[in-house]
Amino acid sequence: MADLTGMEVVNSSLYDGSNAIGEAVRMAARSTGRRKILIPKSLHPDRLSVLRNYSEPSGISIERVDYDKETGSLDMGDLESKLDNATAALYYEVPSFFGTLDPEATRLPDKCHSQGALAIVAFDPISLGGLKGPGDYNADIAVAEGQSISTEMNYGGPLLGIIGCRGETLVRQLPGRIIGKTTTLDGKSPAYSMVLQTREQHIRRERATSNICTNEALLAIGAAVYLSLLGPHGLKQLFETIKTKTEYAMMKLSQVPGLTAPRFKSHFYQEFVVGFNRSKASEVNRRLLSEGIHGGKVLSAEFPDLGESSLLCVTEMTSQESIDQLSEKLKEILGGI
Amino acid sequence: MSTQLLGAEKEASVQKVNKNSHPFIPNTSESIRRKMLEAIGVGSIEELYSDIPSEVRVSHPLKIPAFNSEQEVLTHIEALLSQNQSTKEIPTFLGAGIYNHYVPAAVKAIVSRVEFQTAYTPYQAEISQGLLQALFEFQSIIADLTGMEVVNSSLYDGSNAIGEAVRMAARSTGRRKILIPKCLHPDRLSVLRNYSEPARRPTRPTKQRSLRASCKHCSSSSQ
Repeated sequence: MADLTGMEVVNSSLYDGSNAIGEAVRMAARSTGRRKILIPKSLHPDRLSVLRNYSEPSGISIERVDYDKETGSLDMGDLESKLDNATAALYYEVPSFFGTLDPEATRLPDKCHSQGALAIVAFDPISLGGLKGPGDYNADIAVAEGQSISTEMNYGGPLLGIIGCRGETLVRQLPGRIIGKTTTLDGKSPAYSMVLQTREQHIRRERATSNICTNEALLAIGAAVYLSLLGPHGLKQLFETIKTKTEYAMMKLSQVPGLTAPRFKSHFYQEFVVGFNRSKASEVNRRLLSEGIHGGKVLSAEFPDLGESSLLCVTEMTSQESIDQLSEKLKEILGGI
Repeated sequence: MSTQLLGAEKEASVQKVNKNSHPFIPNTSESIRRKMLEAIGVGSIEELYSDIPSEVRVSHPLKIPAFNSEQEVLTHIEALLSQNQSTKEIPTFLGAGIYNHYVPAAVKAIVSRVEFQTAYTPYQAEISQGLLQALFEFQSIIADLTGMEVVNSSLYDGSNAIGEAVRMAARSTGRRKILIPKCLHPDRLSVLRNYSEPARRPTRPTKQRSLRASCKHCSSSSQ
């Protein structure tokens, strides 16, 4: 995982992606001594909710950076006005919650560093088959949800939290466990041990970096097996398959009258937002379900700026036929409402 | 797409990997294959099959569709399987040998334990105390149920048990005639014939004679 992300250290996992964000934010606050965290306004509402649980009790304030209405990327003007020398870190995602690949993403860590702030980047593990790892563009902490490389959807859990960082000072702040490789006393055989476990069961409670240091050992092993099996070639192929299918889906849906697809002008990976010009997104989903199709996540209530909209997802599991079927059904539904 | 985000170094590392070789399956790499063949002094993989007469070997490619990935194979097989209509979806009145009974969840949970599931035959019987005890319990319960003095620790299936029983009877009586009901399940009859008829051929000590599964009816009882 360190290899993939370009991080120096990755721990042996956390609960899930959201909990990894919370821990990353607290690491940044502890190591910079600052209490302000910038996050994209496009952050998944569930993740935001977990992040608040992690940050508010310890006096960390969350400020949301708006997204560009055209591209869905971070609004650079808004970011400039909020990123200052009181900022502990900027957290952002590649791809974003809207599925967009922000061309500025690789430049943001240096922008943060110029203010003494850290950059926390959330990545999609499979996307690193084709995209640079956060460490390759100087991110300080990398986090991810690792469900996609370790287990099926399973009604939403269990999940796999991935967290890694660069630099000696941050390593000391890393919650959870780090397994290290060493040698036996006689120096002859390789041996493994827990080299860092800054958890409250092992050290003084007030010195613990976190009280939630549980790791997801089984899924972490699953992820190791998954990535080893695919190898760099397989992972790249998978990335390209998903990218191509995403583009195909956007192309098909762009031909559906009454639909704006994609809603933003950007590059996309795996997910994209569609806008419904005359229909309610929740009603469209209800109709799709009655036709035997699960629609995307309805965004209208949580992102009213976007109007009636949904976030659609396409993976290697989505067949071309099912994309065609979705587009045909949407034509019928949007033509009829 | 945004080139800043594309990993150029990853591109390079991908180039080094042969598409058809697998990093964790050594014999998928051509150079490792060659080394393995050299080590055993064989020129080619084909040579390993040279002692199989060519007339019994399949010379044409197997009629299996070409797939690019595990995912494609699974999709294909699932499409085939989806043509099945399982007893969970539709009622069934089919029995005749295999029966639709409820098996309590605890049975599956216990037989799924690796100590049991991976134990075929306890080659080091004395260190497999748990397995031995479980089989002992099986024998005792069945003996109790059936009123037999001895029950063994199981055979393949019911039909094979009939075959073995018939041969036991023949060996112990020295007689070669077995009576069976005409209404025997044709599948069981077929297995029974496999067990009994070959005993006709004197393969070893010459006196071995046919063990006819003979009743007046059975020779005509199969469909």
